Parts: sequence; structure tokens; C-alpha cells
Amino acid sequence: MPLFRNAHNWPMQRKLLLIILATIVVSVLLVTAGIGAYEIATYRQRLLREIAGESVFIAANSAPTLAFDDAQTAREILDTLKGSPAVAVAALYGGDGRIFASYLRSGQRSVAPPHNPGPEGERFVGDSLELVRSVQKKGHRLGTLYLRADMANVYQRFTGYAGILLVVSLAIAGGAFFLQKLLERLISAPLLRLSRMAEDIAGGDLTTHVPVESADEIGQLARAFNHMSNELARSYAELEQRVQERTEKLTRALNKLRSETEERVHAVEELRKRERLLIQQSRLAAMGEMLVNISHQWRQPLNVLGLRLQELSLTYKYGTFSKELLEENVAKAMEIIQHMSQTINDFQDYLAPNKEKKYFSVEQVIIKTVSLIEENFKKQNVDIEIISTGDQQVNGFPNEYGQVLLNLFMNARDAFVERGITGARLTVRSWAEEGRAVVTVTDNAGGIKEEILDKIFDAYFTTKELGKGTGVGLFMSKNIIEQNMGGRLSVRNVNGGAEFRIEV
Amino acid sequence: MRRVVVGIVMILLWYTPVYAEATEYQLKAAMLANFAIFVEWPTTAFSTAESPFVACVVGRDPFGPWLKHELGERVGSHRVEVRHLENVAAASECHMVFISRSEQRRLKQVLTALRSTRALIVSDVSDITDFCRNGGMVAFIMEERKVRFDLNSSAAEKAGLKLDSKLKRVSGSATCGEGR
Repeated sequence: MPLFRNAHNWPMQRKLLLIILATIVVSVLLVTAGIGAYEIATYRQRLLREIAGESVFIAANSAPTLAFDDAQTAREILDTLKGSPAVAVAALYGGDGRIFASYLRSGQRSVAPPHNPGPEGERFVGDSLELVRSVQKKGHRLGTLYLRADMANVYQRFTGYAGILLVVSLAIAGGAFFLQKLLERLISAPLLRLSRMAEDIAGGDLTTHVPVESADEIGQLARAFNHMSNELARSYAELEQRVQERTEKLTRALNKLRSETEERVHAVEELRKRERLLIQQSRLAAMGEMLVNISHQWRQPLNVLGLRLQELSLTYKYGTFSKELLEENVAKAMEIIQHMSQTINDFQDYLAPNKEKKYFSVEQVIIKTVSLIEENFKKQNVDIEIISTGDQQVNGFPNEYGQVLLNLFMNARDAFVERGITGARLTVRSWAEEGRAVVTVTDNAGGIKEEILDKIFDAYFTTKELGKGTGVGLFMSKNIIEQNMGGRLSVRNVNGGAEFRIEV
Repeated sequence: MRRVVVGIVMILLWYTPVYAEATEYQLKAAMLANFAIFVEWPTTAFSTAESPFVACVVGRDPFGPWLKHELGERVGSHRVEVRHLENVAAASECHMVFISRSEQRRLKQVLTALRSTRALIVSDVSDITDFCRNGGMVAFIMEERKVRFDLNSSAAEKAGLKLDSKLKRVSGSATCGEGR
């Protein structure tokens, strides 16, 4: 039904109206149907009663007309049947059985009264009632009255009911219109005001209010709305204040955080500066070490060189000088100088930091580093033992790696010297473990005190005498292995000494 | 069965005299018989329930057998008796008096004599107005081939008779002899 397609979207008043209208219309239809059914069910009895009464009246009235042969008056009397629309045909028969006067309901031209009225009494023929009554006076039969009635009466009544229905319907329509206006004024309009207020509130206007006009549900609703509006305004103000307070707090916190961050950045900067200084210091320390080492390396060749030069001088003095000897000694001297020059190159290479990572042999770095200090160690009566299992290749910076080894060697030597260890022995082991190259540097200098074992890698921590150690060596070493090469540098005490372990 | 009944009715109709062909006095006799039906006499008009209904003719009897024939055996519960009066003085027992045309000349005397009776006074004299003014109640008039009548209802009521209200309707005039 297209008429009711959007019925659920209709305004409430229209829905109410529809319900009321439907109820009334259904009631009226039911009442009409009931009356109609009653009419049809009882019409025969009523018709019979009505027609019987009518016939008595007509018979009484028409008796003298029959007696006195006044057909004109008889017709006039029959014409009074116009007041009874149920009667379709009426006829008076004279004493001789001939039709004396007749009556036909208007619009009933085709039907004629029968020639013979038939026996007296009443009978139903289809929907029609036929009634035959003798016209008598004082026992004298004057003639016969014949009446035929049909449903026209009922139909006419139905027309009447239809009229009533129409009037009632119009009245209902008028009432419905009035009701709608009333509903609109009493319910819809206040609801719409509330709805507009809700929209205002939704739009942010919290000062809006609706007038409370009644104490009914709508009035209560309006009061509730006003209350809600007030509460909202209050809550909003409170919220606003809280937000402001919170914003201030946050701003303060942010400022504090900013200054703290600045301080921290400043501290980090400071730290870096110091770190750079440390590196510089360690470089210088390393160079110092190098100079010591070079001096050790050079002592023996310098002696040899001196001897060769003295030999030339002595042979020349004793006359045994020969061209062969000169050439031999110069060649030897040149060789030694060459060797010394090589030593400087080696140290130079060693000190230059690698720019890029590359694969290198751990064993070679060990041998090269040991070669730098072995003269020095020999002088201090320290034995160096290298135990290598396979040649491990490592990706990283070989010079830095060597520097770390050198640092560990030097620390061991210092410990030997400081503690006056006899039979000092430094063992360097290298092997592969779970795909990593492991190198341990083990001494027998008595180990490190347990309480400082976890501090020895800290910057500026040293156990050496004032002016001897910088406290930077192990810190730098750990940095190189762990930060630059992604490995691990650790320490532990083994029987009678310390063992440093490098894993890369 | 029905056909047989219809056939018998047809035969009877055939032998019954047809009114259209009836004589004037046959019609008038029938009219008198009708008045016997449509007029109510007071109970005092009959001494007992078995007292006869007496129809009297004053003057020369124009009806022959028709009056007796039309009135039949009984009017209501009363036996019918038709009398011919030579003397109006003997009319005290009459319920209905027909004054013949022969009495036209001494109509006034006859009517005066009948004034004390409770009879319905009928006549077909030509001077209707005179008849009614002097106490005549029903005046017959011939119109073409039909018998009509004028009524003097006030006179009838004075005599204690009750006229059927419908009689006035079928009468030519219900106020015969009044206001002229």
C-alpha cells in the first residue's frame, strides 16, 4: 500500500489519528454490518407485520368503496400505500372477482396484479410477500384485497443507513480534524519545542530553555530538558576549567621536560667531549707505549749497527780492513736500517685506524702484535705462548683489534712488573666457538680483586700508581670490541691469574 | 383439482346476474343492503338480540323482490324483515325506512312522522335539499348508470345512528341539507 509506505516515519499525531480513525471506522462498519445482518434476518417478520397491519387498514377503509362501487375512492385509498415503499403491487377485487382498483409502486409499471388473487392468507414467493385478505363488513364479503411487498423496504433502509454512515463519517472526519488540531496543540507543538531545544543544545547553545506549561508528561519532559540543559552548562563550564588547569599543568611539565632535555643534551655533549679527550689521551698513551716498544725493538739492531761500524773502524786501524768486509758490513748495516725502518712502518700502520670493515685473520693480528712487544717482554722475563687452533677470519677493523690485544698485553706486563712475579707467563689462545672467533689472554699475575672485577671496564678506573695509568685502556678496548665490531669483551679470574676473553 | 374448482367458479359467474345490467332499483336495493352493513344502530333499537332487522318501504314499493334479495337473511345477528308501510305511524319498529318517489308530494308529513324513530331515512326523491332539511338522511342520486348518494350525517347522528366514517368518503356530500 503506497499510502502507508512511510507510516513509521509519520509524526506521532498522525499515527494517533490514524489509529483513532481506524478504530472509529471499523466500529461504524461493524455496527452497520450488524444492523444490516439484523435487518436481513428479521425483515420477513417485520415485513409480514407491517403488511398485515397495512392490509387491515386498507381493507377497512376500502370496504364502503367496494360496497358503494366507488372505484375512484378505492384508488385513492390504495394510493395511501405510497407511504409503504415495501408494497409493490396492491389490488382490490370486487365481489364478482374482477379487479376493482389497483395500485403499482412508481417505477413498477411492468408488474400487474394477478387476475385471481388466490386463496386468503400470506405467503412468501421468493423475496416477495403475497397477502390476500377478504374485505368484509358485518359478515358480508364485499371483495378481496391483494398486496405484494418486496425487499425494496430493506434496500431503502440500507440507503438510509448509508446516509447515516456518510453523516457519521463526515462527523468523524470533522472530529478527527479537530482532534488533530488538539493533538498538535497539546502534544506535537510542545514536543517540537523540546526537539528544537535538543537541537540547540546539540548545536552548543546551553542557555536555551523551554517554557513549562503543563504538569503532564510533556511538562515533566520539558522540566527534565531544562534541568539537563542547566546540568550540561554546569558540566561544560567545569570541564572547561579542568581542561584549562590540565593544559597549564601540561605546559609546565613540558617546559620542565624541555629544560631537562637541554640539560641532558648538554651532559651528553660534555660526555662526548670528554670521550674525545679520552681517545686523544689513549692515543697519546699508545704512542708512548709505541715509543717504548720501538726503543726496545731498536736496541738490539742499534747495538749490531754500532758493532758493525766499530768493526769497520777497528779493522781500518789494524790494517785488516778490506773491501769485502766494508761491503759486507755496509750491506748488513743497510739491512738492519731497513729492518728498523720497517718497524716504524709497522707501528705507523698499527696506529692508523681502519676506515672500513674488512675480513682479517685473527692469528696474523696476534702474531703481528706479539712481534711488536716480544722484545720488551723478553727484557722483563715474561714468556709469551701462542696456542692457535685454526685460522679464524673476522669482519672488522684489524688495527683496532690489535690495539686491544696490545692493551691487554701491556696491562699483563704492568701487573707482572708491579707484583714482581717470577716465571711470568702470558698465554694467548685462539679458537672458533659457535661460528665466532674467541681469543683469550691469560696471565699468571695473581688475578683481579673480585670487588673491582665489574669496574675495570669503566672509564678512568685504574689500579695503577698515579701518573702511570690513564684508566682509559680497558674502557676503549671494550668500546672497540663491543660497539665497533659487535663482539664481547669479558674478564674472569682463573687459577692464579686473570683471563680476558674476546669474542667476535 | 384446481382446474375443476376454477371451472365451477366460472360456471357460477356465468349464471350470476351482472350488476351492469341490473335495473335501477336492483342497484338501489343493493345500496340499502350496504347501508344496513355500514350503519350501526344503538342497542336500544333492538328489544332483544333475536329481534329482527326491519327494513320498511313507505309508499309504492319499487324494489320488487330485490330488496329482500339484497338484504339477505341476516344483518349481523338479526333476521331481516321487509315491511311495506301504508301508514307512517307504524314505522316505530323500522330500522331503515325507504320513502318511495310516490310520497314526494307529502314528503314533509312523512318525514315529520318519522322524526321520533331511530330509523335510517333513505329516499330517491328528486328534491334532495328539501328531503335533507326535513330530516332525510340518505338521498339517492342517479349519475349516468350509477347510484350515488348524499349524506345528512348530523340528522343520522341526532337519531342515534353511527355512520361508518368511510361512508362520508364515498358519499357525494356528507352535509346534505346544511348551510344552503
